[in-house]
Amino acid sequence: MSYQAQIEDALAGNNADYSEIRIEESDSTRLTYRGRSLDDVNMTSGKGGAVRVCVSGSWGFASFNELSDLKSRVRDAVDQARSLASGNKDESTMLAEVEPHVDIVDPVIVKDPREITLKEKTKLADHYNEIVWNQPGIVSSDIIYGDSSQKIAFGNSDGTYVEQERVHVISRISAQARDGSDVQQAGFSIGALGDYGVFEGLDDDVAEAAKRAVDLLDAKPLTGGQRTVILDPVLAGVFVHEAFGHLSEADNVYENDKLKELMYLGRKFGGAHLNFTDGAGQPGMRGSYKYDDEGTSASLTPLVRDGVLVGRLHSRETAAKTGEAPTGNARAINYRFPPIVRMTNTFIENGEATFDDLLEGVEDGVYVKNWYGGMTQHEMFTFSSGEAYMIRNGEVQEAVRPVMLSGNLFETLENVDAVANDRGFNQGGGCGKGGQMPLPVGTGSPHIRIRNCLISGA
Amino acid sequence: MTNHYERLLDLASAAHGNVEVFGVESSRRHVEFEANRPKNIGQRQSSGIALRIINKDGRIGFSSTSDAEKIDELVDRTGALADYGAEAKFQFPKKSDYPEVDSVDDSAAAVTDDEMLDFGRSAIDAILSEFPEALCSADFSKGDGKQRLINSNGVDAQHHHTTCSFYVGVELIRGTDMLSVWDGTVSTSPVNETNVDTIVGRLLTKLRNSQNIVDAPSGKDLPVLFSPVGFNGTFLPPLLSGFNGKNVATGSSPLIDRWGEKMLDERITITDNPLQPMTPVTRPMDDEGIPSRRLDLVRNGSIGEPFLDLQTAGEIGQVSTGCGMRGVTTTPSPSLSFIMMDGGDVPNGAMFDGIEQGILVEQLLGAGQGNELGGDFRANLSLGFLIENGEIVGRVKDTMISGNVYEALNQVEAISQRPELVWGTRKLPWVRTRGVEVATSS
Repeated sequence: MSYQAQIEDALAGNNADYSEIRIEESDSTRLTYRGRSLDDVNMTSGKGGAVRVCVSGSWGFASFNELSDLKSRVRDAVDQARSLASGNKDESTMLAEVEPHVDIVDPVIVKDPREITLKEKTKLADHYNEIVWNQPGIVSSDIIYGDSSQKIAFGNSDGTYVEQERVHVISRISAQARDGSDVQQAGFSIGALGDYGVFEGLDDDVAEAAKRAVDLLDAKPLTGGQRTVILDPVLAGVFVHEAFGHLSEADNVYENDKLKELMYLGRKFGGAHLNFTDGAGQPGMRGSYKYDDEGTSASLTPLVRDGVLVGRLHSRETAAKTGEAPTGNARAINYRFPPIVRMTNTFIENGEATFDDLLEGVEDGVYVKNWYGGMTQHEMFTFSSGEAYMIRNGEVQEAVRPVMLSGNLFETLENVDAVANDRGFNQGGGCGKGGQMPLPVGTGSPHIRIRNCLISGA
Repeated sequence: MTNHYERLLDLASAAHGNVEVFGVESSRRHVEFEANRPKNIGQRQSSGIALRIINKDGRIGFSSTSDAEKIDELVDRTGALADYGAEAKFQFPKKSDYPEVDSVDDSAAAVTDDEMLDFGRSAIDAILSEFPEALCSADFSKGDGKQRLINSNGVDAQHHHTTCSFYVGVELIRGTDMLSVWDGTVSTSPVNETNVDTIVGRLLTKLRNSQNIVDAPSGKDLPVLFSPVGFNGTFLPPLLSGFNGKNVATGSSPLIDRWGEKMLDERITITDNPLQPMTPVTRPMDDEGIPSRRLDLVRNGSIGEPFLDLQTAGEIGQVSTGCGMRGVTTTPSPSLSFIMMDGGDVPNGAMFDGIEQGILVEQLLGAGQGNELGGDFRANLSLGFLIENGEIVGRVKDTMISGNVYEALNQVEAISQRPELVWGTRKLPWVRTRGVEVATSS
């Protein structure tokens, strides 16, 4: 029986207000180099499913590897939701209306990693590792290459049935240098939707990362405190994701009246040069898709226009409960989890300044590039640069140890005083939320400048 | 998938000789609260099986599946992968005796949704009665996991554990200030009233202490007090990365050639004990079939021994310390279990005494983004307090801490007598130290 028939059959006749089934098949290949040699080659295939139902506003969810009796899985989930609903009498199921779709979506393929032999992949990774080790002073290296395909069949009680397949390629390459107990590392991450090509032609980037790791041993740490910082497009992308994106996920807001008062549509967050957008509707990026994991069509959602909050990201439930339109942002990392509100590809739109305009007049600042990580807790956020350079008298000067930047949404966005016109994209990141990580996301931003940004000592 | 172990082992050893089959079967059921109300009941059934081989050229092959129909494919696929695999620096172990240690509470299975819901409601009610404007989330779960490892040398290592956990988070918004506090625990045994009361009590204390927001001092010479949770988040990751067999084998650990050397304050003793009974990480053997044992990581300030799996042990010419851990989709790697730090000589209630001006670190935001391998730590304080004249005077915000674990743990001022459980898998004291840089925007 086809997945469509199995899903329709299993959903038929249940008395939940809403029900859905996802069945997923996945295959992944991963190469890990640690030091001079290949440490691990791993291929994993997976198959599993999930049922989610809603009864009077209460949810029941089940995930499983045994797919033989879907109908009883649905029955169990309905029982779970029903028993909760009996204690939640003032609730009702509210889900935004979405046009039902029946669609089979072909994967986006530029250069299919599944058609590249393991021999070719290891040969290229060997080659990059050799470049790292050609740099004198390197004590260790880490190279991760991974590709994966995920084929998802989704059907719900509204009549939607969608099959989608996505192929991802990711890599992280880093080098370590050591002087006594001082260990420094430098590296970079890349990723692409359906394109092995992103892993090719990296010789110069690899060589530069290895050199940077060694140079960092001589770089001075900065003293913690407030400074003017200029963020490169990669790190500015992480900034908009961490500092703003998470708070625009409507599941934070929809049942939180106090936060609603703070994050009301129409609130001004900064100057007219601030324009933020999120959307899976931007084609060809790692956060791109046609339908989200509730079967809602992807879109491009303006979040901030001219410094003013104009939109946020929704699942069907958060959209219905805030009275806003669904945006297609309900995502699950795999069948073991229910879909929750997530970012997809998050952008800062181009401004009018040039990079030189941003540098002008900066007497004592830091130019931060590349990312190491980032985290958000409501209005507070931190993110780390992979590289940092002093700026004096408007000029980028010597490298210093990478820094962590930290801030508060309500203050920091007001302190973004310039946005350049040189937008670049980054797809090497993975986002974590509610135990679901790393979810493929993309970012895009031009250079931006932040005044009075708190940086840590190092 | 449990009925496939022997068949897969037979098929694989006929083809490849030295082989190992590892698999898990687990289930979990949980109730979830959102915005003070029950929101979801979820359950997860999960199973998978993995094959690892050492081929005739001495190379490792590994692959896994959660698809019962693809188990036989593992044999050929793993063989093909081994042509590119790492050189094995070990042999699969032979049969050995495993210590007996309790890790199952039979009453866990009998816990009902209603019981979990009642605990959640009463925890949330207790918080709302003092902070009516709070928004609480909570998660109560029970689970059961079985794993089995068999290899072509006759090892048959089976392990069963129960896992019950709960978590309560509270959010308070006043003006543009958003306060988030959370706490919880993991255990082999069902949640009971006592542990819910303890966690709720700790949450209420944090909320009360957060009512005033005050400016933080900055500088490098402030006394900084770490709660057990704060100590866990700040110091353990950068410290333990140096003991990790992978970093030792590659040469990137700063501890290489320094085993036995005194590098930390002599009051610091840290051990890892997988044989501590009835913890969520208790295990008689590791995931490669090596009997578990206690490890002395730091003894009186001196650096003890690294933690190793079979491969990293082989790489540095030692024997596995029984620390090869994995999920079903990954190869083993060195990992610790129940980490304990010895208490000191200061009563827990007296750790604030004598602090004229200092910082208390409770929760961190963004730890782990720095250069951990070198022992560096840095993080934003998602929950930190200003201490003046031995008392908490308010919560500090927009404040970051940074430093190096080998420096900060050499400037220890006080260690509390009684270590406390952290998330069911650590037992750590309160620690007061200097040598931590505090930076603030206020």
